[in-house]
Amino acid sequence: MSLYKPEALVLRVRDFGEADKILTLLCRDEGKVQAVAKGARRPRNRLAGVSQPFIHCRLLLFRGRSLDTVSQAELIDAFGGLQRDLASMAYATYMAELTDELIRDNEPHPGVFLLLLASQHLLAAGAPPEPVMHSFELRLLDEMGYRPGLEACVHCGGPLSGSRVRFSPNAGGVLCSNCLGEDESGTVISRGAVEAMRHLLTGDLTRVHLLQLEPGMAREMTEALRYYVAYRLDRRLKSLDFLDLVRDQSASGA
Amino acid sequence: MYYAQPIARLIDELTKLPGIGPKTAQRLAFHLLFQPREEVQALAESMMVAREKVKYCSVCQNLTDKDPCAICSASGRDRSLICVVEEPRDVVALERTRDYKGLYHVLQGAISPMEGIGPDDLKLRELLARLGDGQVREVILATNPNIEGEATAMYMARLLKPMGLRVTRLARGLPVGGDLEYADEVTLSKALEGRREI
Repeated sequence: MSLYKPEALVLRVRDFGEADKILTLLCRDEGKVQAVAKGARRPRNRLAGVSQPFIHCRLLLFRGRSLDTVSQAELIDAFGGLQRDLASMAYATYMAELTDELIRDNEPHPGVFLLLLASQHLLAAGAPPEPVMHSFELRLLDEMGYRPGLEACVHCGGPLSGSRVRFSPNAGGVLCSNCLGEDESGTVISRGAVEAMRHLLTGDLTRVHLLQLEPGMAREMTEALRYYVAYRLDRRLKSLDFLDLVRDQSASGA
Repeated sequence: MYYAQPIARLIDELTKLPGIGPKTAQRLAFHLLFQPREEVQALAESMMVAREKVKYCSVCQNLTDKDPCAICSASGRDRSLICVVEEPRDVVALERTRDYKGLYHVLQGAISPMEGIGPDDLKLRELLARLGDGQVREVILATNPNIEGEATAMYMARLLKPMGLRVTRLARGLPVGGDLEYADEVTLSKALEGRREI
């Protein structure tokens, strides 16, 4: 079968040739797919509208040897909210890049598709972006088999005692205050931050944005998860620079 | 080696041009070989002259052979209006409308978080420097209507609005001569959003 009709989210768009674009798509059932949208850089092109990041659409794709070709596209949701707000756009870009980096081509991950879709909806609706992002990171890691151990100490197996624990990418989870010295990687965070992460990982996804994060705890969580993600990817994501810039500006009241 | 060395070198150089593959390069090379000497000389010279003489205008950052460029130094232009675009080619596109009489500022790119292109990689500081003298009243954000252009426009709006300027964005909607039936949904909803009373 050379034609198929996936439901997809556009993760990334790159210019290709004179007037084409290459779309990196996350399809619900087919996984990550690269497809050419012919002529999508011309203003009157039918595919121009859907050839943009964050777009949720149904496509008619023609399977090619290395790249598929977009034949028709039907928009489901343009996520206008993400395009109107700089901060939401920066968070959504980070989530899309993280997904693109963690998933390999043609591996089906319907869970990741639904996770990203739900997270984009929350951001577009103006939910507080920090808990949405952290919940997305944790659940994506979980889907990909990198779930950090948050329930008990990953070294001694005992309950998490003490107020300070280590969130260690190397050990794959949290080390209790007694085992804290067993590993040097990652950061030392409060137990409250671990509790919050546990809630973000296992709680109701549609309600994660209601979690109130105290600023200090939010900072700890951001730092800890960045280490964890960078350790898994072995590199720093490019969109983080812009995210930090926008976040700093928003924090300074601009 | 199938070709004499000079021909092989020419083909090699032509292949480096965008959109030119080995076959096209071969065709161009052989075409040039059989052209009159003056024609080939003119082509070679024009390439060198363009490469040597063209630089960025110190005011608007557009490409120009004299500084400041023809638009920045023209007398009949509205100096209270600056239109911010991504590329020099966008200036040409806007000039072709013959409707715009203000000045330009060329950013030489757009913010693209995934490619690692941030505000510091654009000619934004130069724009801010131009706005300092109080002559400019309005800045038109004419970056492309895609995510990168939108991010750039929103970022600039954040910087410029506190300076007390009128900041506007180009409208988005249906192309002239187009057909409603064939318009894509995103464009159509933008057009609906930006509808005007007639």
